[in-house]
Amino acid sequence: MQRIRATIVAACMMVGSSAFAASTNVNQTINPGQLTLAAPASASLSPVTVNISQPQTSSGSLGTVSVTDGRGTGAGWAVTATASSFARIGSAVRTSGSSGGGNFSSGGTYSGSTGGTYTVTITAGGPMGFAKFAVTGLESQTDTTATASASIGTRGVTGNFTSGMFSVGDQWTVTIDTLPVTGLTIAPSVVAIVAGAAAGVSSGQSRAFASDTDPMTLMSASSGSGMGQYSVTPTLSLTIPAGSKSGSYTATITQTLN
Amino acid sequence: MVAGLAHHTYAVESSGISAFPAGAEQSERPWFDMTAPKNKSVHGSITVRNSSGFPTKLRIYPVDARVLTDGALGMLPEAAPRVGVGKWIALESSVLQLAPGQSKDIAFKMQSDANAPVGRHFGGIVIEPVDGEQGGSVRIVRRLGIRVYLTIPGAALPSATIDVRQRNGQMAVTLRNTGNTVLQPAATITSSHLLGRSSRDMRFASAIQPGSSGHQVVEQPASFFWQPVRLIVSAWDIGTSGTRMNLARTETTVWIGNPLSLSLPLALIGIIVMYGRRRYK
Repeated sequence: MQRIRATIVAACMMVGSSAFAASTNVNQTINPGQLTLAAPASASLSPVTVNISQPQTSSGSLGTVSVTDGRGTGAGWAVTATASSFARIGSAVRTSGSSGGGNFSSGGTYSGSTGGTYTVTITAGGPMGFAKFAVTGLESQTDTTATASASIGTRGVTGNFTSGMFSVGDQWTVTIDTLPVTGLTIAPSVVAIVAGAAAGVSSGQSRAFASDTDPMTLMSASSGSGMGQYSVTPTLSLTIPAGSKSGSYTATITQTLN
Repeated sequence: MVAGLAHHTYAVESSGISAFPAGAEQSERPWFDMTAPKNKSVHGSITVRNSSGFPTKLRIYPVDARVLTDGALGMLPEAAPRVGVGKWIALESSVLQLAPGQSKDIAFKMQSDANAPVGRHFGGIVIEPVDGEQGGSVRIVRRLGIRVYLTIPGAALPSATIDVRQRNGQMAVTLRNTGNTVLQPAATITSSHLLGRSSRDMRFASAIQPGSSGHQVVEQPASFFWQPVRLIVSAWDIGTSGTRMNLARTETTVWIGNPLSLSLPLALIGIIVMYGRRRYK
């Protein structure tokens, strides 16, 4: 009798346990976010006054460069920077032709590394939109239509031909002055951690650029790290050679996140 | 005045653009690592997504890249001459207009030159928002880059010769690539002199193609005393992952310092000798 009772209890327990063994899988999907770079659109250096005998140093901040890695993969990343030389595009100076004809002025942002002079010469007369010009000097260019925003060479200089009649032989010069990129030093700060772990994330070393095709690291995260938000605030320092021409010089710093 | 005012014009937040190899958004290796014999083509595709709430216009272009001494991959500017991956990639589109939330795939073909060096080559596909001109003396361009590695199979034989010349207080270091791979070189200069020993690293500004030379000028070690300095310049290749591979080594002895600095000790010796002679007499 005891054996029968034990068998019934065991059978009930088996039935009960099988009823409670049912399980429900719960899925959670985490979609990847983005890898993004935030940085100021421009920066400026402290002004200096012309010094004819001694080089000078100008300084400034590149602003806060911030990387957010929300991909959730731990692939790592790097922010690197290259810089162009600082350049100043001089005003167009008429060297030939009548001042009563069409006018020409210079503009744009020069991307070359060395300075020099562009000479712009009208090769086919007529009003703006019909006249043609050629370029010699720093670069060569032929048979280009004179417009309100014509490219002078391939390095970012533009020419503005305004209303009036242009005559064959009208000529202007545009002088480009540069401060070499080799005088520009970037010193990344220590990494500020907004969110995420610090391990594996580091700022680059402070140094001067060797050329305008010399990338340097601002901040990087090795593989398996860098999932979060991090920032650096690099400082800029520019050596200005003695006797540099006065004026407003501009350069381009290109930051790449990969 | 030579430069402008010291301030930032304004900060711009990230444009909400993401880019990755098509189908590899969640990959732990979100880049292209391709292998193809020289002069043979390979194909790929990238996805560009606009997650911002605004329509955006983007420029897309390939560039060469180099491995930096800290192991990061530095992509070159758009205007830099392209001789490797940046030259070999042909994109199906160079300008892209994306509506808010829109994604688009851009296909590309990569084919190396018939005389391309064997080994690993570095480059990238860059996505750059088309911004208006900004103020300030420093214009900042922000770009996203997708890394592209291309391996051209073959027996890689990296080698180089090194030459060091002294002139006007500087040392001109020339590294000639005598192997069949593209070098991403750096060098260590070790100087040993009477007062001790020091060493420092120097970088070459760009990668060096086979048969070409790279030049770098560095300041020679400073010294007040005129003395011989033994210079050991050893060049190394950064390689594919920031690891060093020795290439070449040279040793030379140069005299540095101010020759007049010898006059003081010589005068002292002279005085001592004269004084000694007088006492002896």
